[in-house]
Formats: sequence, structure tokens, C-alpha cells
Amino acid sequence: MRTIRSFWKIWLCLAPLLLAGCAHTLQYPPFPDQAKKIDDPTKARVYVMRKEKFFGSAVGIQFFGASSDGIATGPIVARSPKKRLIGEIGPASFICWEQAPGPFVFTTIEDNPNSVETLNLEAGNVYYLRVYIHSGWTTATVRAKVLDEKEGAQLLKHCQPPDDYRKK
Amino acid sequence: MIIERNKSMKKITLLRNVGIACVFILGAAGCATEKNGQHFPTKYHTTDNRIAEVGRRTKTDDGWTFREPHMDKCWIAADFNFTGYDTLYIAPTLSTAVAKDDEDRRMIEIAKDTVVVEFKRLFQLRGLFTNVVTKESDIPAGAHALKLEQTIIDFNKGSMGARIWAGEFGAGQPVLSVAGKMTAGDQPVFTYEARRSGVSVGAHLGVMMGGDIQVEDVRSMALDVADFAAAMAGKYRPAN
Repeated sequence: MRTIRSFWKIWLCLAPLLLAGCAHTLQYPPFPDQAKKIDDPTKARVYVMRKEKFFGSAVGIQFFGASSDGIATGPIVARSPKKRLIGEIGPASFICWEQAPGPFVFTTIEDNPNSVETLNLEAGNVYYLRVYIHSGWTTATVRAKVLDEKEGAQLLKHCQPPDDYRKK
Repeated sequence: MIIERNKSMKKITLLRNVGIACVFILGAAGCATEKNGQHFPTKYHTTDNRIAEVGRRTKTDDGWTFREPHMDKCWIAADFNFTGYDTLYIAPTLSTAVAKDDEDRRMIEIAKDTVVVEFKRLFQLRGLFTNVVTKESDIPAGAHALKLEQTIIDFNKGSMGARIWAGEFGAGQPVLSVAGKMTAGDQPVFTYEARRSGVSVGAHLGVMMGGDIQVEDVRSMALDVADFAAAMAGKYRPAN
């Protein structure tokens, strides 16, 4: 009887974790043709990838941009009212878009206004960013870093496109 | 004599069980047949391998009322199926919901924006219209356009404290109700009313902020409306 009670206690603790499942991947700017290196040669292509399959898989990483660039066309999230979503990235997935050459500003450490990096996009080039959850002693933050082309292309092979663009 | 009787009793029991099973199977299948014999599917296979349920339909004087399980109200005009139009204009969302304080007002403004953004994304993905625009000035000249006007009719931002303590049981969830009306010219062709209150699993674990939960709620609402439109437009294969 005691064993059965213990089983149900363990099940009650595990159930929310199991039911949570994996976060979805979606994006708001148009998704370019993946068969081509670049769809529109007058633009630059940007990939944002999340490598980890299991760590934090129930949480989607929200990737924001400035609404003025025409790429961040997603909803405003209450805690970041000055930015709009470009997309949300689930485990082992990526989002991708093409935008006009020029500076692309993004945050490297979530909720830290001083951690801003700028990529100077050039037409015809492909840029790779990796996002991941960094767990500290008490909090976990989302971080982003730029990868070189070789490293980025290698990582891309292990990631899936957004849910709406996956082959069924 | 007793053995003979038992045999016939067994036969009757078997027939009764088969009969009950048939009634259950037919009932569970959920297909709807109109009084005049027309058959209408109630479930459809979506292009991303889900089953979209639109519910049974009832003929009214001017169209069809659906018992859509994800919406409180759902109606389309008799001769309308979301096809034959090239542009959908999603107008800015209005609100008649009562805001109790400044935080409510701020959240309602964000929800109004989210409704437009998510409906645009989902309708674009379904490929029902060549253009899905959110500004009247973006409607191409000479376009055969539909207009979708939506109003937030009920709002509650919920409570993070209640979600932490009893979120698993639905406590403290934000509430959002939206009424939508699609018109072709001045004629209403589709109306709906839908309510959401913490549909995502994360909302019930007490880890999500109210604003994030509401984004998921709007996504769920937009998905169901876009699925309904795609099913009516013949983009999905009937499942029953």
C-alpha cells in the first residue's frame, strides 16, 4: 500500500514535467526557401539556432527585434514593451529570415539593456546566431552569440525549421 | 430445456451488445446529416496532421450556425466559404471590456495588437488569400477584399499569486473573449465569438506571466478560426 502511495506521489511530481512537452518553434517574418543559400541576393540571411534538445525543452526562447527593421512583426510581450517578437525557438530548432543590408541589433543577455550587439549585415551573406539557456546559481537567462559560417552551417544540420514549415 | 434457454439468452445478450456498440460507434463518428439528406463532415485532417473539429451545423434563415467546440458562437452566410476573395483586411481590434486600472488598460492594448498579429500570421499560413493586410491603405486597388473586425468583449488579467498556489486547477488565469465579424462590402459573411483562459500547459504550472499566457490564448483562438476557415474553403480533407 505504501509503495502504491509513493508511486502516486512521484507521478504527481513528474506529471506536470511530462505533460509540459516541448516548446514550439514559430516565426513572424516570411520563411525563405531553404534549398537556396539566399532567396533574394539584395538581402542578407540570418539564422537563429537553438542546439539543446532536452535542457529547458519545455520553454521556448523568445527572440526579439526592433519593430522599425520590418522583421520583428510579432506581438509585443508585456515585459518587453519596446520590442516585438521575431520568433520563438523550441529545442533543436531554428528560425530564419532575410532582411535588407544594414545594422541588426540584438540582445546577447536577456533583460540586460547593456548587452547589445550589432551585426552589420551585407547583401548576399549568411549570418548565424546561437541562442541558449544559461543557468546560474539562482536564475536562468537566455543568451545569444554569433557563430562563424563554418560552425553555424554545421550546427544548422542538427536543427529543425519552424513547426509550420516542417515536412509532414 | 435449461441449456436451450441459456443458449437463446446468450444470443439475445450478444445481439443487444452488438446493437449498443453500433449505436456508440455511429454516435462517436460525429458526422452530421441535414434533414434533407445532405452530409456535412464535422472533422477535418489539417495539413499539419491534426484533426480540426468544426462541429455540427444547423441551417438558419440566412446561413449556417455551427456548434464549433472551440468557439462560443460561429456563423457563416449561406453562400459563403472563404473563397473567391484575394485580400483579407484585418482591422485594428476594438475593445468594450472594462478596465479596472492602468495595468488592465496596458494589457488590453497589448492584447488588441496581439489579436491582429496572430490572426494575420495564421491566415497567411493557411494560404486562403493572396494578401493579408492590417492597414486599409495596404489593400491593393481593385482588390476583392474581405474585412475582419474584432472586438475584445471580456478581459481579466488574472493573478500570478493564485496561479502559483492553484494554477493547476485553473485559478488566477487571465481571461480574454473576442467577438469577430467578417464582411464582404457591407454584408456580414462570418461571425464568431471565442473565449480563452490559460490554454497552455505552462499557464497551469504557475511559471508563465499573464501577458505570455494571453499570447498563447490568442494563438489558440486564431488557430481555431483559421482552421475553421480553411476547412470551409476546402483546404482540409474531411475526416468523417
